[in-house]
Amino acid sequence: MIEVKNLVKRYGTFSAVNNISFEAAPGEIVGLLGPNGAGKTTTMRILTGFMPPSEGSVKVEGFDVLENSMEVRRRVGYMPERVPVYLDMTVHGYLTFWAKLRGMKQPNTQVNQMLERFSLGDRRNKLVRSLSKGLRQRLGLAQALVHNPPVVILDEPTIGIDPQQVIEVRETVRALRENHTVLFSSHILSEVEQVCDRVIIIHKGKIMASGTPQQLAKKYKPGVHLYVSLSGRSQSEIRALLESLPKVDNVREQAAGFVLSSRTDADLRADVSSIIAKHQLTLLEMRLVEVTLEDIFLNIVDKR
Amino acid sequence: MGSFIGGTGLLLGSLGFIWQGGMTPYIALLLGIGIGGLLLWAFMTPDDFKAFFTGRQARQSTLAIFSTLLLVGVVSLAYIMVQRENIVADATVDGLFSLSETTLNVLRAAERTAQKIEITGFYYHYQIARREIDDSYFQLYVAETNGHIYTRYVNPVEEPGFSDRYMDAIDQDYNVFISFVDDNGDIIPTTTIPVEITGTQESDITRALSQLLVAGSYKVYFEVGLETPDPISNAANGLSLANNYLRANGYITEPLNLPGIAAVGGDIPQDASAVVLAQPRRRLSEAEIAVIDRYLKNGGALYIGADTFFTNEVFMGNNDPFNQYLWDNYGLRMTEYIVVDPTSSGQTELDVLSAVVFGENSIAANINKEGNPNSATQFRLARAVEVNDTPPVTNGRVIMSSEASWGETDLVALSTRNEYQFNADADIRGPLTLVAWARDEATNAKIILLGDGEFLTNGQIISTEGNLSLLLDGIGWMTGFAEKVEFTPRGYLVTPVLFVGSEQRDIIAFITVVLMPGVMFIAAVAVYLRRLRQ
Amino acid sequence: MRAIRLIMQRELAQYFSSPLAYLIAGAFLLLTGVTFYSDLNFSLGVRPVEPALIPNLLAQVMIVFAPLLTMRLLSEENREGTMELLLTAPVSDGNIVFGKFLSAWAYYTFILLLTLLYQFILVNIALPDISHTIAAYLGIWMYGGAALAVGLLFSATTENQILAAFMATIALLLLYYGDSLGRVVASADLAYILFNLTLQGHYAASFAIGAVRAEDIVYYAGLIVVALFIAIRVIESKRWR
Ligand SMILES: Nc1ncnc2c1ncn2[C@@H]1O[C@H](COP(=O)(O)OP(=O)(O)O)[C@@H](O)[C@H]1O
Ligand SMILES: [Mg+2]
Repeated sequence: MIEVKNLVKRYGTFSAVNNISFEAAPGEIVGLLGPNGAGKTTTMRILTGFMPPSEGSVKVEGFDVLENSMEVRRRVGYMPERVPVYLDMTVHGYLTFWAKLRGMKQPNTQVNQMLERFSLGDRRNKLVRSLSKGLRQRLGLAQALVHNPPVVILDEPTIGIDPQQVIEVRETVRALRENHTVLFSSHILSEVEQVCDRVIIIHKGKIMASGTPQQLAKKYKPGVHLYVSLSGRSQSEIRALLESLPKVDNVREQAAGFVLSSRTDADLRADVSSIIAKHQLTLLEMRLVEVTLEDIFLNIVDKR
Repeated sequence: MGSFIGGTGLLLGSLGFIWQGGMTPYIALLLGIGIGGLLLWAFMTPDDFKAFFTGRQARQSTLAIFSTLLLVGVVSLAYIMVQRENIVADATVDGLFSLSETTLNVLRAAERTAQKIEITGFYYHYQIARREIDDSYFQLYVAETNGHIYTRYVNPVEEPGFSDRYMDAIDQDYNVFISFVDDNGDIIPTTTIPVEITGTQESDITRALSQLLVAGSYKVYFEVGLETPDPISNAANGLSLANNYLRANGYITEPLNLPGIAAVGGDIPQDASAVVLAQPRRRLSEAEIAVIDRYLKNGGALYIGADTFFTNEVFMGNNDPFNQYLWDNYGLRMTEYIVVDPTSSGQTELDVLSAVVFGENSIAANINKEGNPNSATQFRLARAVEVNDTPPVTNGRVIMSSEASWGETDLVALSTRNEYQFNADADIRGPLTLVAWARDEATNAKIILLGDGEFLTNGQIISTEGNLSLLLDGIGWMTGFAEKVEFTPRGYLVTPVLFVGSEQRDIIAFITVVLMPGVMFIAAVAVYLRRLRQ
Repeated sequence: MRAIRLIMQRELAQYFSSPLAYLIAGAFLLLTGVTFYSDLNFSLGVRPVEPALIPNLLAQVMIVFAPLLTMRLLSEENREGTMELLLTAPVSDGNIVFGKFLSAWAYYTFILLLTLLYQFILVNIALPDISHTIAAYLGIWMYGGAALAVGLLFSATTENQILAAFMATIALLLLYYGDSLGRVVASADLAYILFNLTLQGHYAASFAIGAVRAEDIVYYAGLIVVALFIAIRVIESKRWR
């Protein structure tokens, strides 16, 4: 449970976070999305009690980060952006240290569980120094989860690792949904789309948009998009035919075919079928096109 | 940065203000630096400065700075309070910081004196460490006498007027003095006793203190009318050094003109505990001998340094009536031969060292001490003393030359060609007496006769420790002063390293220089290798 | 308390698993060993061995040694980013600083105890002034604690270990020779105040000569408290920036 109200963070006179409010409920994975310098890390650092807010109130599990910093910190698992580690500790020692420091008396079973879960068991006695970037990322996740916190905050957990590992991390995060409130940041839009229940888009310290990926898609790219690829006539003739359809607002060339857009929810497929029949064209391919956050993001940022 | 300088300056300034309880130039300077630093800060980084005074962050920084200041204040206060209490625990086995019985007895006497006693310490501003060490000892005396004895520290640079009179002594490393003070709190200069701080501070101070207490009881006169040098003048002649040492040891010294007294038929003053005849250069007249005789019969004491002069009228030469007088009455006289000692380790064989000393009394107590070659006496060109072995009074020898020495009789060859050679027919076989004493039990007259006077007049009392002991212990024996102020050092429990053979030493060297560091270096390599494997 | 212990344990383990720490300890023991042995040779049969020999040496060595021991304690956490984890763990800033300090002090104590072997040798070949030596060790132990606290303070201010060590050395030099400033101005009062602000001022004239003064203990303890307090404030200020 995270409640952020009118949060402002100033570095000197520069506002890195400028009056943002949002909430995250248990069982929810919320994605903070924004380009570099948007204020994601700053927001997360305030949530974890690393730095105090300049203005506004921030509550985690009902505790205010200023007044009850310790209670907040006890309930948060945090993986910072750079995945900091103690190079000269063993993998097992590292996890045990953080588990104990976060108040666990007998962390051994949890530590072992974590090592298994992140496939680090065979490296338990290796020095952290010897781990690859991807393994360190896993260790960082294990560190954030070892004390089983109700709130998990992950700052760009997929940055700088190879695609296979990215997929693993995403799966791990998705699996957290059941028992945790997860706040997840990224500047990769598709990733947030795949992992998160809800997305908050921030830019220059302000919230640009928020909602489920579907809601956002609806709001910022309403209508239907259809990809068709036809043959039988020249492309320019086909284009003219498609543009002549009354429900079609926009035709865009893409690959070997065209993307048709309509502002309404009308089904364009029947109209296209009628043209095919009428002009004796051959249908090579026809499918609905999904809206990506990329589109939404470009859309929002462009509007400003 | 500016804020840091500013804060620190202000802090130190205000602390100094509390400490000193007032404004001094340095504190003003510190406060100035503090304010300057703050201005610099405001000027160089206005935003930073502004932010400091507004908003949450400002509150936080202000809180941090003021809580730090508060903490420093509390710590300083605690420190000052504890410092005033002067709580000291003595950790030395020898109890260096616990006053001994001897000292406590002296302090009981000191407390009863009418005037307060000041320990005046002259320390330059660059000698604070030394001052603090000495102070640890002085404070024991202050505490024990509840302030009847108190300390005062003077920096010669800051108080040149006050220090002027002490500069000679200070240059010679006598930088601590003990004096009585009058009702105005001013030092009474005639009572001042210099203290030599040697590293055994307690006995140094206590000895000086006891000297202060008995000082004035003993007066030593230096004869000045027999062409002897002026001892009192501070012009750097050797005899004034002897004079200063006597004063430093609690004697009052004055000059005495024997011919003058003899001329008016007067007497040597009653209060003369001893008279020193340092290297007279002529014979005494009958009248002068009479003055001395009356003085001795009255229980006086004579310390005679009879030197060699290649002149006709030698003081205490063969036909000097005074020589005869001493022989008849005290069984001592001077010979006219000069002691040559081939075993002497001096520059020439005419530099005679004390080969044998006699322990019948305290005169030679500190001469030829075991393990300290510097405690031998050294005379440059000494005459031999003759001791009557069936004397009219008790007498005896103090110092003799070695078996190998002889008394050279060919003074012409010696003085004109600097030649000396043992001539079995003419010369006298050693060992020869260099210093002798006599005491008349009936009158308590005491005499010390020395075959050399130059060691007094030429500043050679400090050329060896033995020479100085011969003067101080000799005068001490004659006046009886020595017994009163003797500070018996306690038995030290700490010993030098004793039981080490060369084999043992090798083992120790191996353990300390090779084994212990080696184990660490090996551990370093081991840890490094283990880390490589992990 | 638990957090302090955990942090201290981790740092101590770090000391004992780092080759550098053993190298420092080895160099340290070599220095003290040579000093001890040569003093032993000089004093054979002549004078008692100086009871405060090793502590006196340490009084100067600590100027360089303390920054070496403390330079990485906080600056490394700052550089590696682990500070961010520490500061978001449920432990107070004070616990972090205190735990770090205690680990350095414990390591220093360990090395100090090793040098007691010299005393063990001495006891077998002479009658040394053991209690005087113990007083001097007590003094240099507190002195070392204060020097380490100052070193830690500078470690908190920067991410750069070398810079931290350098600044700490300068600060310790000032704290050691600060009274020399009083020599420039010919004032005994100023020199006295400065002397009493210096590290050696509370060692050379008391512990070293076998007198244990309460004020010196207060001074070192006070310096430790103040330096650690400022270090905590420095860390705190980093949060607020
Ligand atoms: N310690 C700091 N001092 C000053 N400015 C900072 C600091 N940390 C971040 N910023 C600035 O605040 C803005 C937001 O940074 P950050 O929260 O790290 O962005 P993100 O994580 O979204 O990339 C950036 O413009 C960055 O330069
Ligand atoms: Mg970031």
